[in-house]
Amino acid sequence: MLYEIPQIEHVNARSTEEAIYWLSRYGDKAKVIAGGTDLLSLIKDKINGPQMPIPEVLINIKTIPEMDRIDYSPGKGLSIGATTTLYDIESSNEVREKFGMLADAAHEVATNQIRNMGTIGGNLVQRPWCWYFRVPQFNCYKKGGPQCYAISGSHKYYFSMLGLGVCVMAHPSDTAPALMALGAEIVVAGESGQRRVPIDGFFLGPQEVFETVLKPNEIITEVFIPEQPPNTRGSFLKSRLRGTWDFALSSVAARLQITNGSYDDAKIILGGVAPFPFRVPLAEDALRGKRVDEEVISLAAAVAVKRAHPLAQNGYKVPLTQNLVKRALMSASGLEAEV
Amino acid sequence: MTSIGELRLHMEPKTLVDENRHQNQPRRVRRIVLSINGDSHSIEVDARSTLAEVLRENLRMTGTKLGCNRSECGTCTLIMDGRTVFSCTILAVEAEGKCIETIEGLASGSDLNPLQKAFIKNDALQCGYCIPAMLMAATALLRVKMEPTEDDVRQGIAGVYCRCGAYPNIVRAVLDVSRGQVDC
Amino acid sequence: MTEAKLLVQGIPPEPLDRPFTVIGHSISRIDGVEKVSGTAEYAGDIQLPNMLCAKILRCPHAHARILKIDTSKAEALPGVKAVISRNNFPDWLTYWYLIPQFAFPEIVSYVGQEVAAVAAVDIDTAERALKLIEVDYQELPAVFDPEEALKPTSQKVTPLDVPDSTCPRAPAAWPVGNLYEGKTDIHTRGDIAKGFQDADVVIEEVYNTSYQFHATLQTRSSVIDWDGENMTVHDSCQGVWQVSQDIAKSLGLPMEKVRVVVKYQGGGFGSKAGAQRYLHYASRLAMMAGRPVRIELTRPEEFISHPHRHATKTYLKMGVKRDGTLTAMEGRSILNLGVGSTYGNQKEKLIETAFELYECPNVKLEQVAVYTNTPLTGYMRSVMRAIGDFFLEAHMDRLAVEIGMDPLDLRMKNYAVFGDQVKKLPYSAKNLDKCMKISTDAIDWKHRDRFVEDNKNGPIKRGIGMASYMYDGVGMAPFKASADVVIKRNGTVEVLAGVVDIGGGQATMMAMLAAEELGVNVNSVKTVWGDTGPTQFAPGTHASRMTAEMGPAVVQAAANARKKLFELTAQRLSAEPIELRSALGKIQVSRDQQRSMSFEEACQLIPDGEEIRASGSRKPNPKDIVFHTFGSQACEVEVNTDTGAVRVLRVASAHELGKVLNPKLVDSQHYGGIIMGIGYTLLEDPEFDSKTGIMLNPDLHQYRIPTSLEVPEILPFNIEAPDPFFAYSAKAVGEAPIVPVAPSVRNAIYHAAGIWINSLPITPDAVLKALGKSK
Ligand code: SF4
Ligand code: FES
Ligand code: FES
Repeated sequence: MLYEIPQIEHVNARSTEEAIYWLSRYGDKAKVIAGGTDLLSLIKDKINGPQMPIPEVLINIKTIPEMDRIDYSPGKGLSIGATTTLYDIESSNEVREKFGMLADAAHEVATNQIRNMGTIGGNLVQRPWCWYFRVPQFNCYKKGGPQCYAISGSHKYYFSMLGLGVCVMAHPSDTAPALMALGAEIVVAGESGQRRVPIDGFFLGPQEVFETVLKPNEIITEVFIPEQPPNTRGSFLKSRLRGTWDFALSSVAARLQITNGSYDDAKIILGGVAPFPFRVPLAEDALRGKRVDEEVISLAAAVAVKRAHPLAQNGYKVPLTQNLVKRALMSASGLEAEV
Repeated sequence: MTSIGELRLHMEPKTLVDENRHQNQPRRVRRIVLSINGDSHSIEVDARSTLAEVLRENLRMTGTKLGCNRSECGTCTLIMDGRTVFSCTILAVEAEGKCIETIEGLASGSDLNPLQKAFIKNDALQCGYCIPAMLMAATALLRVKMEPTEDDVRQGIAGVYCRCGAYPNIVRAVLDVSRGQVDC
Repeated sequence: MTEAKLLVQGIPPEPLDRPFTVIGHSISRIDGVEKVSGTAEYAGDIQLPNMLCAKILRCPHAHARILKIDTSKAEALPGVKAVISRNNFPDWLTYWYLIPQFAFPEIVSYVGQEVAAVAAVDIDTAERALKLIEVDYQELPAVFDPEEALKPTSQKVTPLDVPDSTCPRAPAAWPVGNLYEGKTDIHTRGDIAKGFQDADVVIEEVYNTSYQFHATLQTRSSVIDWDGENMTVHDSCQGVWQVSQDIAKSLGLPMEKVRVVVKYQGGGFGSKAGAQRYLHYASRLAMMAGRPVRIELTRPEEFISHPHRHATKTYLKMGVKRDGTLTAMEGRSILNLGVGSTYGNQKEKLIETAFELYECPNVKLEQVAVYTNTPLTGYMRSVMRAIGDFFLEAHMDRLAVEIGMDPLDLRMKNYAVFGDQVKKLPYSAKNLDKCMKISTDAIDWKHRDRFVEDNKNGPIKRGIGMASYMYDGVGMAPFKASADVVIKRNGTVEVLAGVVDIGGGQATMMAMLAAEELGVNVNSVKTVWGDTGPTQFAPGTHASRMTAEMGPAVVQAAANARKKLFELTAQRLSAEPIELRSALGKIQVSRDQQRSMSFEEACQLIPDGEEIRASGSRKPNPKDIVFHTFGSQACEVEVNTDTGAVRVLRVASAHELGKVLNPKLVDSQHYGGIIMGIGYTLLEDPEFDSKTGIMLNPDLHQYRIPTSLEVPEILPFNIEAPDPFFAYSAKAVGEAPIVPVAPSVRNAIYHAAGIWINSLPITPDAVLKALGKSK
C-alpha cells in the first residue's frame, strides 16, 4: 500500500496572502492542506470527476502563524483560527466554559488522533461521506457527474432523511450544527480580501456541487462565535453506530435562552440528517414563549421531524432524531431526561 | 487577524519577496530534518511521502505499521509533539520541526519499558500488528492521565483497532502500569 | 502421555508420570519482546536489493468477456520489467489450497477480478503501466442475488473454479441455474412428516446473515525472491507449507524449490489459509523479471480481493412437543459462494450443527450452494459453524418461548450423546452440559427475571441470552503433521515446526510441549517456526488445528529425543533409562532422587560434533469415533429502545478443550472470538451496490470492526476433560468462541425488549423497525 499519493508539489504558506496567491496561481490544480485527514484519503482513493480534479499542488496553511489560536474577548466573543485542531478546541477551558456545546461537538469527532490532526476549518469543509462519493467508480453529481447513485441505491447510514434535492448525503460535520446554534460567523479570505459569512449562509443546498459558499481560491481563516447572552444553555448530542470513528446517524445542537422558567429563544439544528446543518424553525417556535416543561419539549421534538421524508432505507432516523431532539432539549433545559 | 485588503493577483505576497524566496516554491522533493526519538535525521523526501512512508521506507524504522493508509484503523499511530497522530496521513515535509516519537524509542537498548513489559505479561498482544500503535496511544495517555480509569484507557486507545481482540488485556496492561503493578 | 491412544505415527511416548511443570502455566509468549519493541518483521517490512514493485489491474465490471488486451504500451514503458495477462498466460491455473482456479480467464466474474499484473522499478511506474494497459470488455449481465441465481433462467456465472473431467464444475452444463455442481447437499433421517405431526408447536422462520470480512490489520503482502532456480517467498499467510505447495504447483516448480517464510503476520482468521491469488501473480512476475518483487495490497483491494465469510439465507421449520422433545426439523440454507469458495461448497458444514448438536429423530436439511457475480468466499473463523449456530440457536429460543420452557432446560433436555445420530458413533469427549451450566451460572441465569421491573420504565431494557455450539479443532484431513526436536551438546533444545504463529501463540505452544516432555524451562527451548526451509510438512494454522495436530507430533518428537538422552544418561546415574525422570532442568532417578544431573550436564554426554535429533508425526483420526469441541455462552445485553442501540455488557464463555496448555493464551482466544463475534452480530455491514456489484465500504471506517469501546466484560471458562487422542488432551480454542455470539446476543435482545431479530447484523434500524417505531 505504499505511496498511494501520486507525486505532488508542496509549499508551506507563511501568510494568508501567500496561500491565496498560490491558490490563484495554480487554480484547480491546487488545494489547501491543513489536517489532511479528509483530503489525503480522497487523493489516495483517487476520487475525482469533472468538478473534482486530483490536486497536484498542496498548500500547507498550518505554517501560517495566526491561523492556530483561540482568543476569547469577554463581551465580544470567541475567535478561533481555522487551523486550530479539534482537540485544542475541546480541551480549551474558555470553549468548555462559555461555549460548551462546541467543545462537546468537537469531542464527538472521529478518533483521538483525528482530533489531534483535524482542524475546525477542515471539519466545516469536509466532503461528503456518502459511500458512492467515497469509492472512485461512481462519477456522481457531487464530483461533477450527471446523477446521484444513492437515492436508488444503498443509503442506510450517512444519508439525508429530508428527501431534498439532487444529492441526499447527510452533512457529516459535528461542529457545524453547534456553530450554527451558537450563531457563528465564518471569516473567509480570497483574492479580493476577506468577508464574514454568517454560518446560516455558509452551507449550500443539495442542488449544488459544493457544500459551502467557499470559492476555489478562498480559504477559511477564522471562525468567530459571538458572546452568548447570560441566560443561554446549550446541548449537543450525537447518535452513532460505534463508540469511535463514526459520523452522526443524527445529531442535535440546541441552544436555549431561558428566563424565569420559560423560553425566550431557541435554536435547534440537526446534523447527520440533511445535506447541510438543518435548522428547524418550527420546533424553535414551539418552544419560544412557552414554559420549560417536558410536554412542551416533546411537542417541539415531534415538530422537529415533521418535515422528514426519509429514503427507503433510513426511516429509522425519524424516531431516532425525534428522540435525540427531546433529550437535547431536556438536557439544555436542565430537566432530567428519562435515560 | 490581519486584513489582506487589496491583493492583486500578479503581485507576490510579502512573504515571498523576502530572503527565502527560492526556498518557498512548491516543490516535489525537499530535504528536511526530522527529529525522531530525540535523534535528528536529515533526509531528502518526496513531498507526497507520508511520515509513515519515510519512517518505514527511507529510514527503515519499520516498527510503525500501516493498516489502511487512510486515517481509519490507527495502526500507524505515533506521537508527534506529545499527541497521538496517524502517521499515514501526515506528509513528512509537514512533520519537520516536530518532535516525533515511535515504538523504536520506548525501550532503552534491550531494556523494555514498564508498559512494554506489562503488555507481554498480560498477553496484550496476539498477531502483534496493532501493538506498536497501541503502545504509543497508551504512552500518550499515561503522560496526561497518570491514574486513568478503565474507561479512560478504553477511550485513550479507541482510535487504534485490534482485530485480534486483545483489547481486554491491553486495557489491563495499561492499568497495571498506572498502578505500578509491573514486576517483570 | 499416559494413553496409547495418542494420535501419533509409531510408538506413543512414555507416560510423563510427574506433575506438569510447564503445561498449564500462564507463560508469556516467546515472541513478545519482538512484538512490543517493533522489531518483529512482517512481510511488508522486508526490503531486498533490486526489488521491484508489483501492481494488479482489476476488472471494473461484475461480469464481462475480455475481447482483447493490449499490454504493449505498458511493456514499452521504461522501468517496467514484466507484464502478465491472458496474452502470455491464457491457460494458467493457480491453486488455492490445491483447488485449481483460472489465473486469467476469458470471462471475468466480479468487480475487482485480476486482469493483468505488472512489475516495475517503482510504484509510480507500475501504476502508470496499469493505466497503459488497454482492455476491451464485452459486458455481460450479472447476477448478485443467490435466489435469483438459482432460477433456471438466470444468467450463468463463470466461476473461478476450474471444470475438470471428474467434477463438472462448469455451470453452463448444470441443470439448475448456478447451483454448485448442479446438486444440493441433503442430510435426512427419520420421517419428517410424522415428526411434524407429533409436534405440539411448529415454528417456521427465515434467517439471514451477512458477509463478514476478516479485516486483518495487515493487508496481504509478500516479497518474492527468485534467484533463477530457487524461490523464497516472505509471506503473510497462515500456512507456509500450503503456500509452498500451491505456488510450486502453479509455477510448475518442484516444492523443494519454493521456500516460504512467515515469522510474523498481521492476522489471518482463515483468510490466508492457502496461497492468495495476488501471490501467484507476484511470484510469476518475479520469475519473469529475475528480480525480487514486492507486493502489498491496498486496503480497498484487500476487501474486494480476498475470500470472506459467505452470506446466507435459511428457511427453518422445527417441531417440538410441550415437554420440550424435538420432533422434526426441516430446512434449506442458501449459501452465496460468490465466484468461488475455498473448500468448494463447504460440504454439509453449514447445516451440520443443526442436525448434530441436539437429538432430533426426524430431520431433513438441505444446503444449497450458489455461484453469483460477487467476490470470492472462503474460510473465516468458524466459517460455517458461526452461521449454522445462529439459525439453530435462534430457533431453539423461539421454540422455548412458544412452549413456555426455559431455553436452558430445552437445550439440556435435547442433549445429544452420539456424534453421528444415524450411525450412533460416540464422541471422543463431550461435556456441553457442564459448559452450559457454568456459562449460565456465571451470569445468574436462574434469576433472569431480575430485569423485569426495571425494564418497565425508561428506554433501556436489559436481558440475558445464551447459545451452545459444537466446533471442530480436533484434527482433520490431510493429517500430515510432523515436527522435529533437536538437543545440542551445549544444552540447548530446538523445536522445528513448520507452522505459522498467527497470533494464537502457536510458536509458544510448540515450545511448551517440548519443554514439558524434556523437563526443561521454556526459555531454554528455541523454536523455529514459519519456515519451510528447516522444517517438515505441517498443517496451516487454520481450522483451529494446530494444537490438535501438531501437539501430538511435537510431544512424540520431544519424547523420542528425551529417550535418546536418557539412554546416554542412564549409565552415569547407574540406572535404567526407564527409571529416569526429567523436570525443571534436572534429570533424576525416580526411586532415588539423590542420583541426578542437570539437563546441561546430560547434554555434555552427547558425543562431540553430534546432536540428538528426533521426529514425531501425527496419525489420522480413527473412523469409529467422532471428534469435536463444545461450548456455550451466556450474555447480558442492553437495548436502547429509543435509539435502537444494542450494547453487550457481559459474556460468559465456557469452552471444552480437553486441556489448557497455557491459560492466558487460551483466554486471549475467548476475547478475540467474542469481540469479532460482536462485530459480526452488531456492526459489520458490508454493502454492495445492487446494480453494479461494486463494494461501497471497502474501508475500515464504514466497514465497522469493534473498537475498545464495544468490548464487554468477558468471563472465560475453560472446561478440561480427558481426551486421550490429543497431546495431554489438548484440543482447540481459536475459532470456537465466535460461534455462539450472534445467537446468544440475539436471544438476549428478545429477553430484554421482546423482539426477535432474524438477520445479521443487528443494526439500530433493524431494532427500531422490530419495535414498530419506524418503517
Ligand atoms: S448522495 Fe450526493 S454524494 Fe452520494 S451519490 Fe448522491 S450525489 Fe453523490
Ligand atoms: S494506517 Fe494510518 S490510520 Fe490506518
Ligand atoms: S494483536 Fe493482532 S491486531 Fe491487535
